[in-house]
Order: sequence, then structure tokens, then C-alpha cells
Amino acid sequence: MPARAIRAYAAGLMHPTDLAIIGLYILGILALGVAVSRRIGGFRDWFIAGGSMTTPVLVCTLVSTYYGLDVLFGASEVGFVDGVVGWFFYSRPYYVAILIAAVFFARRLRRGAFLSLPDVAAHAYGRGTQVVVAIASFVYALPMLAVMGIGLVLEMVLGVPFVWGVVAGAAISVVYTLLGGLLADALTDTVQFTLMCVTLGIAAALALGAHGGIDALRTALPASYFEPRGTYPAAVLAVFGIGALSVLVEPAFYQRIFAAESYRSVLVALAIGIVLWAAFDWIVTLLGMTAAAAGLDVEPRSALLALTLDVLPIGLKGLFVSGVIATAMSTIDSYLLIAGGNLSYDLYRPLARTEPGDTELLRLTRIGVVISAIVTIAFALFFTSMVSAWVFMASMLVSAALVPIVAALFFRTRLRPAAGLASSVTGLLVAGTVFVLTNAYGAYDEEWGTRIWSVAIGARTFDVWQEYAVLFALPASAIAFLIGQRLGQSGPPAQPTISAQVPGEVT
Amino acid sequence: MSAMAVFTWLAIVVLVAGSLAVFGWFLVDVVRLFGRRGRGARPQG
Repeated sequence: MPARAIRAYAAGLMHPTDLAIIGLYILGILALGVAVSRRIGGFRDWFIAGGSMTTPVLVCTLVSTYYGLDVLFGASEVGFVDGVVGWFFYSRPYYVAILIAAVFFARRLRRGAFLSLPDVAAHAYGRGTQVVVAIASFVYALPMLAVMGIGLVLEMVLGVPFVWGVVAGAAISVVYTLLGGLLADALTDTVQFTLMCVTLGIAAALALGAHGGIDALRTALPASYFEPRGTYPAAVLAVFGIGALSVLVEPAFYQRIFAAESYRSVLVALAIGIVLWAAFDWIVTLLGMTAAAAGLDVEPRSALLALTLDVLPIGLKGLFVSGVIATAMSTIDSYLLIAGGNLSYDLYRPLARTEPGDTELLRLTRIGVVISAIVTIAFALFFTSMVSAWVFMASMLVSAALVPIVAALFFRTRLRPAAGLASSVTGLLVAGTVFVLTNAYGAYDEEWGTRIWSVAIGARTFDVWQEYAVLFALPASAIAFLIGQRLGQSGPPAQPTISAQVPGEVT
Repeated sequence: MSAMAVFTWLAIVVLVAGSLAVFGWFLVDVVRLFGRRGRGARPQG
């Protein structure tokens, strides 16, 4: 749709009451940032909220941060096109991975005084691995998809030109993140979390009611929409499952585990979070299916927005759009904070071989947040396919960080710096190579929405999807780790391994 | 009503009631925190 037509459509979509609600929401978020900024004493206060997050704040910030517009639009898109398979094979493995992270990872992570994911790598292997993991974490944390999503939403519902929507969405998030750090981020997340869950629940009830309920879907949609496996090949479903491993090295999860007041808070928050995530995913998938059953002639990604805006009355429409904006902003602020911390704390500090004071570190990280926002905006305006960018970013993080971090947390033997460095660099290189090859020699497949490279070996042809990068990178990273552990020299004898530290120290 | 319909309505209730309950819990936490600070600020003895 051309820009002028979109603005004309948007002009008739929102009532002044709806616009006032959206304006109030944005002003409220900014005011909260200003209020929290007065409580910031130093870097630890700003970056991990002084390690004082209670269970309800953790639930809100975990649920809202991890669920952005990629889930809202992406899961509804899968529901619109394929049905319930997205929930069963894409979302469900994540709940298992989150449970594993809560039970096995969080306790061990809280044994050290860490501030970030690369900090864990630094503790186990030293500076080299810390830098490689920090680069992967930085690239992963850039909230390109959320910034692009907010640009699309503002264009669609308010008629704001896409470029200005992208800049405005990032700028508002930056302002309150700069002022209040993780505490402002977490407090705004509580409002954003409630807004996004309540408005989605109400919108779902109204949309389902207006279109004949769930049972009407069965008569309108093909049977494959209700098959848990859908029509996907088994290999792709396996890749979906492996993708959930990213949770185990998720920088936002790590930051919140370190920011929690106790291990018990993390455990309870993640248990509640899993229930809410499962409900959220199911509803979003069902709304996508409802849009398909209603025969909406829209882009699959816009199906949820088009369906809900169609049925919501004045006032609720503004609240729902605020909820959608909140979904994006709660992701943007959290990941900008992580990316800024990666630049200052995890990259500048070890590379410049300096230990800046608390005030200086706070200043550098705030600069890092601004730089990260500028890079994010530039990428969001430059890339056309954000799904490919997302797959690339997540693959890079898992390939570089999963093996060394799992080893750091669970190996009882003394770890060698070469092992960490070899596994993280090899993981990055192999995943990067698969991406380059699938993009150079593969073709874009319209049906699956990805690049596939058909490799002929002898009489057989193998299809290599760009999503398979992790399948090659993880074994290579594990082999490189074992070689580094076997051949590498011992690092400086200082800190005990994380797994060997006294369990009683965990709080 | 099919199992899928029951599950969907359950998901809607869990999402709305659950998020409101967590937000309420957060508010109680904030009130308790400020209450503790207020009591601590009183002159002792």
C-alpha cells in the first residue's frame, strides 16, 4: 500500500479518544523514567537494578521483554498460514528450554557475581572468549525487529511515515532507559506487560465472538490447520526445537537472573512466565487462524492487527494499539540496555584493558545505549527481510556462546582459555559460512519464506536451509572446545569453576 | 464445546486474570517497600 493511501486509511481508523489514550500511555512511560532516574546511585543500580528485583517485577519484565512484535505478528502469521503447528512445534520447545534454564542454569549463574552473559565467559576463559561472546550478544541484542515493527504499527494505525515511526519508537525507549536503566525498564515493563496481556485477552474474546467462536474455525479452515505437525518436514520441526536452545544463552534472561533478589524469585517468576507465555502464544495463533477463517485479504503479518482493530470499540482500540506499542517498547528498551552494556562493560573494558570507575562506566554504558539505538535504526531502515536478520542474529549467538557457557556452568574440570576461544570462534565462523553459502548459492523459497541451497552429492540432493546453520555450527563448536581443552595451556589460576563453587552461597 | 474451545477460553482467562494478579502483586510489593522505608525513617527511641 503506498504511503499516502496508508495515511488516509489510518486517518479514518482511530478516534480522538484512542489517540489521547496512546498519547497518555507514552507520556506516562516517560514520566516513570524521570521518576526512577532519581534513585540511580551507580552502575550496578542502573544496569541490574542493584540486584533487588522481586518476583512480580521479574514476571512482568521477563514476559514483556522476551515477547515482542516478532511473536505477536510472527506467531499470528504462522497461525494465519499454517494453523496450530506454530504453537506445538515452535513455541512449546521454548517452554521446555525456559524450564531447563530456570532449574539448571539460574542456580549456577547466581553463584558468581556476574553482570552479563560475556561476564560468565570472562570468568571461565578470560578476555578472548569474553570479546567473541560480547560481539555475538551485541549483534543479537540490537532490537531491529521491534523497532521496525513499531514503525509499521505507527504507520498503519496513526499514519506516521515509517522512518519517523522507527525513529520515534527507538527515541522514546532510549530516553527512559538512559534515565532509569534496568529499574525504569522493569517498572515500565510492569505497565507494558499488563497492558499487552489484558488488551490481547479482551481483543481475542471480542474477535472470536464476532467470528463465530472456535468451533466455527473447524468448518472454515482445512484440516491441516488443526494438525499439531502441520505440513512441515520433520527436519524443519527439529530445527524449530533446536532454536529454543537460544533461551539458554539469552542475554536478557541472564541480566534478569543477576538482577533478581533471590534464586527462588527467578524460579517462581519463570514458572509463572511459562504459563502466561503459553496462553499468549495460543491466543495469538488462534487469532491468526480466525483472520484466515474470516477470509481477511491482508498480508499474513498484518492479520492480527487488521482482525482486532476491526472488532474493537472506541477506547479499547486505543488501548490495544498502546498494548502493541508497549509490546515493542518493552523489548527495545531491554535489549538496548544489554547492547549498550556489551559495548562498554564487555567490549571496551577488556579491549582497552582498563577498569573504569563506577561513574565512568555508567557514562560509557549510556553512550553505548545511544550508539546501539543509532545502529539499530540504521539496520531497521536498511534491511528488507527482518526474518532473515532475526534467524542470523539468533544463530550467531547460539553458535558462539552455547558450548562455552554450558561447559563453564557444568564442567568440574579446570577450563582452558583456548577451549572457550576455539569453540566460540569456530561456532561463529561455521554459522557465518553457512549463511554466506545459503545466501550466495541458495534460492529464496516463497512457500517456506527462507533461502534454501540444494547441494548435489553423488546421485542425491540435499536441501540446506539457512536455518540449519546451528546444526553445523554447534557440533563444530563442541569439537573445537574439546581440541582446545586437550591442547590449550592452562589459564591464570585464580577463580574456581562455577560448578565447583559452594551451593550454599546461592541466594 | 470442543476441547480446543475450552483450552482457548482458559488461555484468555489465564492471560487476563494472571497478568492483573501479577500487577496487583507488584503494587502490594511497592506499598510494602514504601511502608518499610517509612517506618525506618521514624526517629528511634
